[in-house]
Amino acid sequence: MIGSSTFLKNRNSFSGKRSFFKGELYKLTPLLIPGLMLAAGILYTLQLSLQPADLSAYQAALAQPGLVRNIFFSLYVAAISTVVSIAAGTALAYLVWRLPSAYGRWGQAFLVPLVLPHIAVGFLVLLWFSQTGILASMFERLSGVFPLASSFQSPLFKGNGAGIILGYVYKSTPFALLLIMPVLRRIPKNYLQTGLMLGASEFRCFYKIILPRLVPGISAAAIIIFVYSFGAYDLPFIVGESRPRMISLYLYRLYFTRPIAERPTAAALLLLVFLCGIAMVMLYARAVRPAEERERKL
Amino acid sequence: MIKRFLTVIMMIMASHLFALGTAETADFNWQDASWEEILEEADGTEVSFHMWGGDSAINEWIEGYVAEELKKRYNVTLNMVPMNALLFVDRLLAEKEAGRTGGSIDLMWINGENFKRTKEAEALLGPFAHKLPNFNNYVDPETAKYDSGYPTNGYEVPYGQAQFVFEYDSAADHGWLPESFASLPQWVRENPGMFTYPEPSDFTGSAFIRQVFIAITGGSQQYLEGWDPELYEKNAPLLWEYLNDIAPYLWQRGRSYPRELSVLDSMFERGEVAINMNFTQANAQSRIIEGRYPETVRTFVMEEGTISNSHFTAIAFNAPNPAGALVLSNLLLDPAVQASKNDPANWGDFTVLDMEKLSPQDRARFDAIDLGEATLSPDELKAAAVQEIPSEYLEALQNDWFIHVLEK
Repeated sequence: MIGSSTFLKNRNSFSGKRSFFKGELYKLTPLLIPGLMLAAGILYTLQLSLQPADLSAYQAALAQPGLVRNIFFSLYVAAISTVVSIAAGTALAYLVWRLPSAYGRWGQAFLVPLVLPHIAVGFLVLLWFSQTGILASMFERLSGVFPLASSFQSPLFKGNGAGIILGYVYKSTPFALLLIMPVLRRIPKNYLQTGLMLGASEFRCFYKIILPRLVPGISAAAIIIFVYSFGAYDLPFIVGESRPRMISLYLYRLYFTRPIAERPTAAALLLLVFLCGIAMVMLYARAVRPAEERERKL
Repeated sequence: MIKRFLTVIMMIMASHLFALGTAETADFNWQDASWEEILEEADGTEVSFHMWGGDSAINEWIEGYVAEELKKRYNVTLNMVPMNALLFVDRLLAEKEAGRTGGSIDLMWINGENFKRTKEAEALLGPFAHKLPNFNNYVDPETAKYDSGYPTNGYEVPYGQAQFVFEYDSAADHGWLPESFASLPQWVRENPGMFTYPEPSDFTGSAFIRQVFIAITGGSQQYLEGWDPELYEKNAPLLWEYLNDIAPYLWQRGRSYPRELSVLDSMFERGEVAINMNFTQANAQSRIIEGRYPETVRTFVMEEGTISNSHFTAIAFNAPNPAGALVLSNLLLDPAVQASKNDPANWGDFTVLDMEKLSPQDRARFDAIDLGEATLSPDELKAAAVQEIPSEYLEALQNDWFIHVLEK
């Protein structure tokens, strides 16, 4: 994002100068490094997957037991995590924005989970939600005071991805807040005040005035959160179930713990999952395009 | 610049030639020498012992007690080289391929896959087991015949032994204890959620399913002849049926398995499951000493037996000091040394000696070791030991579990 904005600025200041391509494009060469790395990785994987000289690796990949279930499970976990984090992040950002500016700084406190590594978040989820965690012991104490119907049932490891989702929501909500907050700060506060003065409810003001203007921040945050939670390994390893299992765990086992002769199958699967991720991002981009165009008109 | 570069290369090559030319070549004919002649040859020399160095208790025992005994008894200096086995095995294989005669490794601690690789590359010296007095006198040759199902043929000798055990808390009441793999499913059904095993990508989880496989298909003997795909195809479905039958009654109804043993360990410590498992006989005792287990935890084995495997020492084909390597390998099988190793205060690693072959005095050394309340007696363990099966079975079971049990 930083790269593209300076690029735009420079382009504006350079109108008329002929040295544009010579001078400015040269500065972009660092972008080649990640680009080349990705291209090499894709080519290598593609070549590995075609090693059997036909498409048998792809057939074998598609015939892997549990593949479809695990892909759908990963999509489901990523989608729920994204929707909940974005909703919570937007609500928090709005509340912080509405605070008198003297308190605005306190909103920064919400960003603390950002510095935690995912491993630590996994540990926190276990600490709070496992069958012998903090919530369980609180329930146990309380059941002595109030007659609670039944004892605490840990939501973890039940096969519904609750542990992974809890972890991602905890970690991604502040991230969404971080990306949405600057967009929100650019909206003049008197827009809202005008709306309220004209008699609209606060919810209606938020929905009609604020939310449409937040679309760029929301969609950037949503794509990053979705792609990350779809493919990351660390949280699923700690708080994820065995079946269904997140696609990252599934791929890891196929790629690293199987004989080298089966690498083409793993490579084919890796490519298929990569394409699947790209398809999701493109579908998403298409879905939010109308909203973004509306925002531009505002 | 280029000139300088070439000079450096020339110098490197020259130093290698020099090294090749002057490397000690082992011209001592140890095969035909008597044990006395071997001792004489080793007197005053230095011997290198390449071994895994990841445990400070083990390192201290080797560098302290063993080095002192070696110096005192045979005037041989021990040079312990702590290194990951994969690394020195790779180095040895590279030396073999390059035809280097003067190597750097004398004795090595290896086993299983690494032994198979070096043996098949003819990178080992031997057979040498029959030369060692302590091997001939105290080791039951039957127990040293295979290493993970691969025949040793005297190219390595055992020096320590591990056995799979189960652990439970004797103070917790779960009705009864499953004493066999045949009765385990019933126990699991009566105690839903209280039993599970690590995913077989974990070392101990893999051992558990292999254990069940051996137990319910009629013992390990049939598998020792080597990899037999037909036999595997015939017997493996019995295992999948067994594991799928108990799955709904496991922890989390079999939807989740602990990713690694350490996860199962903490579940057992918190009382979430009633039974834990480990590949070290005295693990429960060590955990009690560490304060992680309550003092009431005990160890048990199943009636059908539990897998037992050994760790070994072998000699490099180009060992600069083969006589010294033989002396050290023999010393490691000395009853006093084995007893010292067996003491949980030193290392706690079990002996490979046959108790029935020991003199009463030597046997008394082992009887005097305090293994702790939580550990089974060596006799009980020995009675339950079954042999490790070839690594091909291990890999096939490990992979197929994901297909036939987890993702079925």
